[in-house]
Amino acid sequence: MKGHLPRDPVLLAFVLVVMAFILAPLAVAVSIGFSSSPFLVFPPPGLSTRWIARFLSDPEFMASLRVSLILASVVTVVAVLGALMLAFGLAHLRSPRLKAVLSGLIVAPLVFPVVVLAVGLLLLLAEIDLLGSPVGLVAAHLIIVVPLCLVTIQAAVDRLNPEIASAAASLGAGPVRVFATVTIPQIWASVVGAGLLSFLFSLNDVTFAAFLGGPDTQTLPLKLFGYVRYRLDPLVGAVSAIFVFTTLALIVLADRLVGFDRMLGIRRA
Amino acid sequence: MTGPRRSTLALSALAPGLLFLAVFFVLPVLMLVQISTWTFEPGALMRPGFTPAHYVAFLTDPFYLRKLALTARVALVVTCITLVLSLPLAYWLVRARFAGKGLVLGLVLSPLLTNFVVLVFAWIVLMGDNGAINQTLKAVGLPALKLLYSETGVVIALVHISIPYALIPLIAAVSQVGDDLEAAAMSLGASPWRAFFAVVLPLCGPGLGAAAFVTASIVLSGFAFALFVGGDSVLIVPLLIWQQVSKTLNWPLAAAMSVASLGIMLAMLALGMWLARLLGRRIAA
Amino acid sequence: MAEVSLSGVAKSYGRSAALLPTDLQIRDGEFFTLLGPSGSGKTTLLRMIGGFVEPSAGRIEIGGRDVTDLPPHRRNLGVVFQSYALFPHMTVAGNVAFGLKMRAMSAPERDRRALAALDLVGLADLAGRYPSQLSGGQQQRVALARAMAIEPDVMLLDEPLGALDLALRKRMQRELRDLHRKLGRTFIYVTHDQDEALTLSDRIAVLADGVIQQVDTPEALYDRPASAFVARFLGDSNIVTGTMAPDGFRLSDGTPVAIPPGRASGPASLAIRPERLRLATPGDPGVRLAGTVSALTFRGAFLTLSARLAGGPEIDVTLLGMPVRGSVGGSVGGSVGGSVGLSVGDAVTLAFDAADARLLPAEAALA
Repeated sequence: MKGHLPRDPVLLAFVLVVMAFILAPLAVAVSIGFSSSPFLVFPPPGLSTRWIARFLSDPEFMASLRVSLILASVVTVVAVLGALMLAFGLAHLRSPRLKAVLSGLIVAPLVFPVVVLAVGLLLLLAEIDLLGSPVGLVAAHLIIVVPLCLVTIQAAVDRLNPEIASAAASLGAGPVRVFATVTIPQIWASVVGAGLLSFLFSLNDVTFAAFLGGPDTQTLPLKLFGYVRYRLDPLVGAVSAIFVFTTLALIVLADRLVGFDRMLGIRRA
Repeated sequence: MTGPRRSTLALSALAPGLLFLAVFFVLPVLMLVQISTWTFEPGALMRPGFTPAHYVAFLTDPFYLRKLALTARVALVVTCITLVLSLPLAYWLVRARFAGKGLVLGLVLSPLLTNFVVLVFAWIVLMGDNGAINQTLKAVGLPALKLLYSETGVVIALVHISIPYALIPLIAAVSQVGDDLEAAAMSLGASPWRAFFAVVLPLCGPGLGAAAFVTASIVLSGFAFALFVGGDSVLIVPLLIWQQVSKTLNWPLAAAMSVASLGIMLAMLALGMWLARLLGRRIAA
Repeated sequence: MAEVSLSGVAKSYGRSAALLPTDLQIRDGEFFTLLGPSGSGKTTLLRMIGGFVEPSAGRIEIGGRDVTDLPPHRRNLGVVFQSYALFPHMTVAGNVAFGLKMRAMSAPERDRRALAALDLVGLADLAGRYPSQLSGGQQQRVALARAMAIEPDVMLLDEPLGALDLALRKRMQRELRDLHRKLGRTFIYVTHDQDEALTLSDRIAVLADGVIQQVDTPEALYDRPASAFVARFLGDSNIVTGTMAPDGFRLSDGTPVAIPPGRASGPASLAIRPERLRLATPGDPGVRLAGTVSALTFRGAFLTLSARLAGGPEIDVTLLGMPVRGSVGGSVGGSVGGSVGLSVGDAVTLAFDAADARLLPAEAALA
């Protein structure tokens, strides 16, 4: 169509500027990660992998990376399983009122500013002596990640044709079996998408780690938090580069599996 | 499966999750409210006993009031800028036809999934007095801007991280507006931009509300950005809370401030829901 | 004036052609219908006239003005969308007045014209309601009023009655016809419902696979279809393939049919409507066809007798006004056949007037 707004040059220019704004900091951080200079200079005078090597050979950083990866993995697995159980439970409730109330309750943590949740958990964990422990941090992450997974999975479940499950039931499958063998395979792409989101959230969390962390829970972001306060050199750029590339790779993967546009509700042309 | 047995199955599937929620969500919130009324003893952390001192201090002390005003101002500015930048982008992402849309979406949302350190580091590099931005300005002959350790810098950083969060409800909202509506408006004589403002924008009301809510939530949580990009000069409420928790160890005060933040968010939520109901009466679900 | 003229207008998406180069002349003030199955290109054609789709080639003129490069908001057309596309956040009055707001006029003038448009469709008392509070039929009328309020040169209607139930659809068809007569404007209408097309139109263009098959008045299309597709799309038709020989038409097994030679020799098809066939009476002057009864179907107002002709082809005959007599509890064929004295398997001779048959170019195997 002539004059179609999506092709309007003013809109296109605006959109490009905004997208550049969104991506610029990432590009900057990554480019410094490959800087050949020992100082923080932008633009970097030359390219080198020295800072990446420095990061990968630092035992403390690697230890914190390991902590982060283990933590994120545990959180992801528990969250996905937990969300699936909750989705199953919600789907089989007989009262739609109860379903709405419980859904709202489960998703409520997402409405709270993360800092507020962090302080509350701080008080609780101190009380039950779990402050600074990995268990406490896992619990904190789960409070955000489980609702996140549920929302993603629930959206996919709601889009399913209910008659397929009914057909399975009419053929003699009990509700659990129907869910496991009929429902989940249909939504597995969303499950994987939810898992990826959970993993990345947990990996990148700094708020909970900062408020609730201790010597046993030195996650990578927390370590970097401390590092950036006192030293500013291209090392952080190197970490940024690794993070950004990993995130991008996972995004490409998630898009292949789920299709980001479909996940957000955009209908494909 | 018969009714009662099915309900039991459903409830037993829900039980562990709900229990977890009760312990690690409901309980902390209740504790927040309770401990916000406890007294603070330097050295002993806190002592049970009711005192409204923290709330009084937070809501009447001129220092805190200035910081509250600062937080409100930052939240307002960040929200407005974020919405203005995000809505056209959301519109384009939904309506434009091109291959690889999923990938572009992923890219645009990537800050959401990236570590805050990456962003903070980049802002420090870009916004410093001799950072990339100021260098470019000087090269073109324009005066340098104080971005780092200033409110402006914090606003920029918060807008940047808020855009992806705002895009999600906005994209959903624009998707709900039928293609035909813009075509109808144009057939009646509205130019494409006029059609956008007369038809698409009003119908995105609820989406804009949700985006504003999410952005406010981010501002009220953005202590890390305020700390690194604003230094000690941009003391928004989340940073104040962080200071109380990590330095002064005045947990009751931190709790009180958290409850106050929560109160603000809930008020906004109620406002949003009331507005949505007002609009919703007109628009079919 | 508001005649619409298309020259060489075509549309393709990548490799697939939605519409092949098309010429079309629509006269000022006529009710013109684009009729065809889904995928025929009729909606694409309408959308190109409306400016919502850019033609890959060709020129479009409205009222003598070249509008090919004009965006929709400058073409002054009234469009009624299949989904109605009413603005949910505006009242009925707001919707109808929207187009008027885009044009320079005073508020009182705007209100007057909006109300006049609503009056035309009989919804003046619902002006304050919102679209979500209206029924499907009412929404459809608001969509009409909104398009008419701007007094456009041409009205474009894209299957506007598709979502309505049968009774409502018939009533709206009558109202549309009256509206067209009252307004005297050019209406371009898209539908896949041949019944609707026959009822409403001054002229119809039948489309299939991106090509216009025939443009003519409803009567001409029905009585003188130019191709087997048109013959089948509009009403039922029997189509029998055979060969045109110098001495007349022959079925595929050689049986002669006494149709005077009207075409060049070669493969040809004979089209004859079921209602134009009858059971041959002794001394019947019509052309005869011999066959065996293969089925008898009760259709309420009439019976359909299906007969297999010598050589294989099966044709249907509509037999009107035959009361169904015969034993209760007998087979359907038996009781139906009882009224015409025939049962499945009987030999039967059918007759028709030569003038009622149409010779058509031979077509490929039936889809």
